[in-house]
Amino acid sequence: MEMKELRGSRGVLAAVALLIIFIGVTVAFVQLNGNVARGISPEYNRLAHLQQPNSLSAWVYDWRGFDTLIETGVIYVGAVVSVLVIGRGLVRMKQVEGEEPVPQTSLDLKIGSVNAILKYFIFPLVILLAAYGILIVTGAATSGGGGFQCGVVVASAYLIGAVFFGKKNPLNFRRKFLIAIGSFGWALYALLGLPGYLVTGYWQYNVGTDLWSSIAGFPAQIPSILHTIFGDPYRLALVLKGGTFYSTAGIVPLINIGEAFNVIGAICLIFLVFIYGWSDTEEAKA
Amino acid sequence: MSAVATNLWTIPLFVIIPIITAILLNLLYNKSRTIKVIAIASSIVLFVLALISPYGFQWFTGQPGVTPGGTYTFDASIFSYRLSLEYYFGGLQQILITIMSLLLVFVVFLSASSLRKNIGPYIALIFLLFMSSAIIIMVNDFYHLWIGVEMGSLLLAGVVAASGESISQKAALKYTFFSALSGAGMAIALAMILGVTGYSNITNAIQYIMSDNLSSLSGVLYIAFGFFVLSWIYAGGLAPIHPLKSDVYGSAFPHATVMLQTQSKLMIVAMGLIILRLFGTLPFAREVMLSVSVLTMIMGVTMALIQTDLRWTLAYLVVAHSGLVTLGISLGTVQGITGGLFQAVNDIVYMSVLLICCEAVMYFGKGTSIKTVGGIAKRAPWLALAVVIGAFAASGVPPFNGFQSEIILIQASLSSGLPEVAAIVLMVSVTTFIALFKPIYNIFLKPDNSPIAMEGDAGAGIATMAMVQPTSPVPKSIYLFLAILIAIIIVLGVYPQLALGFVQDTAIKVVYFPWVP
Amino acid sequence: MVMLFPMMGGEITPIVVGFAIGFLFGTQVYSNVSRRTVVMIICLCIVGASLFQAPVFTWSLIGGYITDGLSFAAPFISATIGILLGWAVRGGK
Repeated sequence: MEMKELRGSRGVLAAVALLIIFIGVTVAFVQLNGNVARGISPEYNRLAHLQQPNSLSAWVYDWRGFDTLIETGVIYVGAVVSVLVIGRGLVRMKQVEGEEPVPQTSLDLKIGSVNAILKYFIFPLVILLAAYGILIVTGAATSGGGGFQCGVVVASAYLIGAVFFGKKNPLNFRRKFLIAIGSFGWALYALLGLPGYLVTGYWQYNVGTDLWSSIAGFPAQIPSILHTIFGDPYRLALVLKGGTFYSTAGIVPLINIGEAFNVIGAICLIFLVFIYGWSDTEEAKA
Repeated sequence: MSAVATNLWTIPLFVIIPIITAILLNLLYNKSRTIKVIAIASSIVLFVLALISPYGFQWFTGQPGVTPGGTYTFDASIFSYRLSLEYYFGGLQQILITIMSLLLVFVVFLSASSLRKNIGPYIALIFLLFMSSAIIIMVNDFYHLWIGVEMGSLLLAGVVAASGESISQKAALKYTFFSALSGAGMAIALAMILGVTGYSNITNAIQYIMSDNLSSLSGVLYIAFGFFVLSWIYAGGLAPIHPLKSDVYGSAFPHATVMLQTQSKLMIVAMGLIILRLFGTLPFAREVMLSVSVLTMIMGVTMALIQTDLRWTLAYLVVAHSGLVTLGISLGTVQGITGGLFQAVNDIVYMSVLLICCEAVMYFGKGTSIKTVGGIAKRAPWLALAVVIGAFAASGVPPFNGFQSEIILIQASLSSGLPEVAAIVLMVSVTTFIALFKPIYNIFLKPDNSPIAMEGDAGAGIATMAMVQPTSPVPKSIYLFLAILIAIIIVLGVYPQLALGFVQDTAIKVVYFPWVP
Repeated sequence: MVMLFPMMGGEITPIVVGFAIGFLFGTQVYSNVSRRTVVMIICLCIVGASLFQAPVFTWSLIGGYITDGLSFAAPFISATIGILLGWAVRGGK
């Protein structure tokens, strides 16, 4: 839509609509000020530390783990759709001769003007940023951050490489690699619900932490082998004042890794096709 | 109420099986044979699951409910605040998901056999489309509903853009722009509802709104309602943004439109019921919804009348008939809601028949415009019969299913004291008939007078005779699918109680116990 | 107090996981920089690790914890080494 379409009566209409929405939202938020109901959140706060040391992860991956699974899917689908629009997986009907899709070419990156000294420092920066992303995902059970953040940091490393080095990106992710890790990440996240589902019938039940199997009405006991597999590798020693308290985040660190892979795969793939384009013949060669 | 399962085993599978299938298909990319086998097997599994599933809840991640006394419970029949994300699978969900998975089998088969080049990502998107619709119809949580809607509009754009033609890419892009408004509008509505109630679970939020005196916050509720309706309009393609949605339907492959219109009906139903449950007591709420529905119907059929291409006629009719569904829901009575939900079921089925016929017409290689094709009935008489039955069902002719739901809608509007609405429903039926019979007459019944056919007629040799009557390019599988769908149309038309049994329960709950999912 | 034992599983797993993921990404690195740059990366990495400090709930030398003021983010170091090794083994110039 061009700006000139907004001149005249349409523009007036749009402005009036925006004004109404603006007033409505403002009035609503003013009314809400001081009247916000707390609802269920005190209950979550009371339980969060039993779940794991990082409350944010407790929320995102444990209370609402399935919710985040689908959110992750939005990123995955975003990547698949963006890449499809550029050219990966366009389909034609066998019987119908339609117009051929327009071939997409890569962006014309002019990197000749980048300072050589600056370039010298960019390679270490890219490597260290990628390592920083990995540090974030390994510490996700205990400190702020997690899969999304890791993915975004690594993707920014990739983008910096593309901006400064053009086609000779040091972090030279291949298309198949990105599609593979994106898919692996989402599949890992989805399938981590399977152990809990098989034992209790609840998908994404955190078999490593297991808070609820002592409550009446819970369908099953968690076998100790599942505790060991999903709880112990990431068992943490939380030293509290009264003594030592051992805690584990269960499947949450693993979910974080799946999430990170998915986000890296998806976002880097979007960058890749928007910068370098997509061509099936190139893909076949690689 | 007896104790209901809170860990119903089928619910996660409706989401996880499509996800895993989609990931696999996306990876397989151009291995058409493997893709076809996996996709069809997985869609058949989904259909069987939907058919045999019992009813119940799934409390994802296994977090219990908190009773007002502070104890924890895993019993859904006890009043509790849910810590977990909640899905519900009941009669309405069963009939809609069963029909959708049946259509998924057909659509996957059709797309795997009629498309060439790298079909993996495309069929993966169709599976995810199924998943997002299943989520929207089962979920009992605001945030998750929002994610389902967001994902649904993204997937829709992908499926439409996959043909790579400029018209479909334009339609997809336009729709993506505007459906962003749907997501954003819903997010604002959710922020306000969460601020007022503090619960993202729909049941808990409704209970809070009904039990507490919220008169000081009624302004917030009105704004939330406004944004929710805005989101409903954008997600379902109702008036006044119906041209965007019809562009999408018309420029996608017809088999994809089968899934797209199903998804859109499910969104309309799910979101409409939630609006009604949450804001049904607000004055003007139903009137606003009713006027949107009436506008959608009138504009949809009017636009359908002036089209000269079967694909586009159907695109506008799908939108117009969405208006019939929302009309029933916005009447807000048990009869009205029952009629609306039944209409949704019927609509999905008869529109699918028409769209699959449209796809079959495309196999003749001359497009679907009334100017380019003709005389199909001579070459494929059964196809002509199917399209005529589909058209009769869509225009509410007995003994087909459209008649049964439209008569309920008319009765419901009359008993709500709205005879003018009943008249509009009648008008929609009649206009649908007229709009459909123009392309059907031209494409199927009128003799083909295009230059190539004339040339063939002029030839006299045996070899040219064979060219005059070439074998029909329509594969047998399409006739099988059409036969199954037409059987459903006739069964529901003769014995509507079969479907009514599934939807009536939901209608009663929405009217009398709105907090129950 | 420097505590070597009991060494908790929670301290060593992130290091291993970091190394493995780093190695995986290292296989995708294509560059032809000099050995001096590699040494610089390792030095910068150790400086960076001391700035990030050891992860929370890390109480032994293996996890990178030395005293209250001085500790290293061991997963960061292992991830960097993983990337460099992956580059050396499977990457390209």
